[in-house]
Amino acid sequence: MNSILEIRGLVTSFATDGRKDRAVAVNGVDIDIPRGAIVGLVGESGCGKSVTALSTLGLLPENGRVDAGSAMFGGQDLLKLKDHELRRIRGNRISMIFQEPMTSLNPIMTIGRQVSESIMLHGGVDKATARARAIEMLEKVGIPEAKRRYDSYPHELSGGLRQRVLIGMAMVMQPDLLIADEPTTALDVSIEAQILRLMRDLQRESGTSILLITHNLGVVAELCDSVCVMYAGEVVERADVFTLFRGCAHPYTRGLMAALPRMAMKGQRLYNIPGSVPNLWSMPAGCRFSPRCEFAKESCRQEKPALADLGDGHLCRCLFPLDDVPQHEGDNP
Amino acid sequence: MSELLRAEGLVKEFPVKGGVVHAVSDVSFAIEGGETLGLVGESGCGKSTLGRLLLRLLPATAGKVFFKGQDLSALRGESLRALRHGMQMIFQDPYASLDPRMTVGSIIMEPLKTQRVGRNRAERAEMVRDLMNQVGLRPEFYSRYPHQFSGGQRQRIGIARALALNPELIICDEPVSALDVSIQAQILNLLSDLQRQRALTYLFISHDLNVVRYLSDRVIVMFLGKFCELAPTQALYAAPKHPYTRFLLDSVPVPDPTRRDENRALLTGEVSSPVNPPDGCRFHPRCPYADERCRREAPALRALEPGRLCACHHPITTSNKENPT
Repeated sequence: MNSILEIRGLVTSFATDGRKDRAVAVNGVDIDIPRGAIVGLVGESGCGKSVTALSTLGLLPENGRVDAGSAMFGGQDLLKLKDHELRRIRGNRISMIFQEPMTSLNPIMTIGRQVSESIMLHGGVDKATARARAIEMLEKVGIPEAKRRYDSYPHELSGGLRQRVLIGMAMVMQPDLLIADEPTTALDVSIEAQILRLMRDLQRESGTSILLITHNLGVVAELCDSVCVMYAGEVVERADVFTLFRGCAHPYTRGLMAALPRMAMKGQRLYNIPGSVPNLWSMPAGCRFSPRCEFAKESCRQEKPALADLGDGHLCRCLFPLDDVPQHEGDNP
Repeated sequence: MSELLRAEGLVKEFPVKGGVVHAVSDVSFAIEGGETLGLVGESGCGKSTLGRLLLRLLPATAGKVFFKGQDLSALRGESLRALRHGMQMIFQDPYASLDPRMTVGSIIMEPLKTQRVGRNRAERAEMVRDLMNQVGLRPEFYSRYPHQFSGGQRQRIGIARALALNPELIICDEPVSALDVSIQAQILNLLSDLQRQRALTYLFISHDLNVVRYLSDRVIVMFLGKFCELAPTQALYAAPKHPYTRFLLDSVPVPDPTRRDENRALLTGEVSSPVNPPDGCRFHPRCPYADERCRREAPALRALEPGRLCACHHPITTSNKENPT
């Protein structure tokens, strides 16, 4: 397999105050990131998409624990590595960008030093070289007057510029894999478009593989080669991006697409998925989406569907996958 | 349709260290009864401030607001309160706007109590249960607390509270921005249903161009405290006249991968600051069409066609609409 990262059977749970049983946030997730590809991991709040990434990188909060699974990266299982071994990989061969750039930057260190420190830490070069490379990277990610801005502190930059700095820090080591968790969610739409274009251009140039975590199907369509859709801790559908947007097969994915008010006009009803996501402690039996699924039959409430191949690598976790028909926005599926 | 609300020359300035925030700069417009007027723009453009000025939740630096022909700034005490019944607000973060120590029932009942609607507690409780039904909350949840509800349900609580005094105008400030897409669709449908049933008028403030398009009859695009464009929804989205509108529309990620390589025009530069905004047209530092006049003279909001207002010295016409690159 020519994958840069292969996650298999990942199970992650959390301890919560006042409860004996742990909340299982990720329940047997398989994800492949082919070398040089941008894979989208999409789903609504609480579906386990961020926890999947944090588990893989050993960055779970104290109450979180990986219970099972493997994450093969360059011949090593990341889930079995010790902290110091993981630390060497993070920020060097695997970089990360998070939603809120301010929380990932050191507020009392200039942005230039933050970039050049990470170059020196991982690249073993002297100060002057690191500085030159940092300025070069700041220019590349579109920081105006990079030489002058080198000495700016994070609070002196706008949200868009801060996210550019983080992307610069993430890319400067030419990582094999970049994990970007909602990188544009906190940004205005005109800045989001700039950042998406920057990520696409940098990816085309460097060939870095990207795992892009987002709730925004528009962002997925703009950037990704393939997509995993998560619901209630499980991958429910996986396909290349064109297949997914042309004809998704899982009723949840179809519901998400139909709920977008993209072309719907006033007066038309938006499709909405009834109910809300299940509680982590009381997952429905059988298919986890069945209580909200208008196609659910009796068997869906008893039998747990497997992630089955519908052909051409299009995987779907549904006993009755939907036919490949075009969708009409605003219509009920 | 008749005019329900009119704003004339509204200005809001906040003094800050090193200057003045020009949050809203000389804005005039009217909301027709029964319509949904969308107000869209990026962070810091003044759209939320404008919503608060209309309700006098913030005092205006200058300008007037007329609701049903009456000048709100001339009213005091009881008469202001009475007129304010007719205008309510729904906020973005339903959790922050609900008192965590009050039950849902008492949250929705509060406006009824303060305005002395209903003869006694039992009658008010009945009205609350009826409101809960109307917004899709089970009346059995009357005695629960906000934290026991999901984000979508909390927004329903906020909507029920806003409806309690039977308003004519509701100012919706980013009411679905914090919600997941499947829940967002539920709330948007609820807002449409309520509008039909109760002949409500909405001012719908949002940064989400798709949501605004779906809900609005007319749309205002705002940039750094001023209106760029005001037009019927279809016309605005099909053929924007102001360069900023055009860039905004082109920036929205399209949920269709076959269109990803279209050569869309993107804005360059950063969002300018409303502290000491640029002279002339406030958009000129980022506008590829800007010339000397744009740097010097602020364009007035003028009618290009009946019902289509645009504040630009060089509005986009059919002859100059290729990509400015």
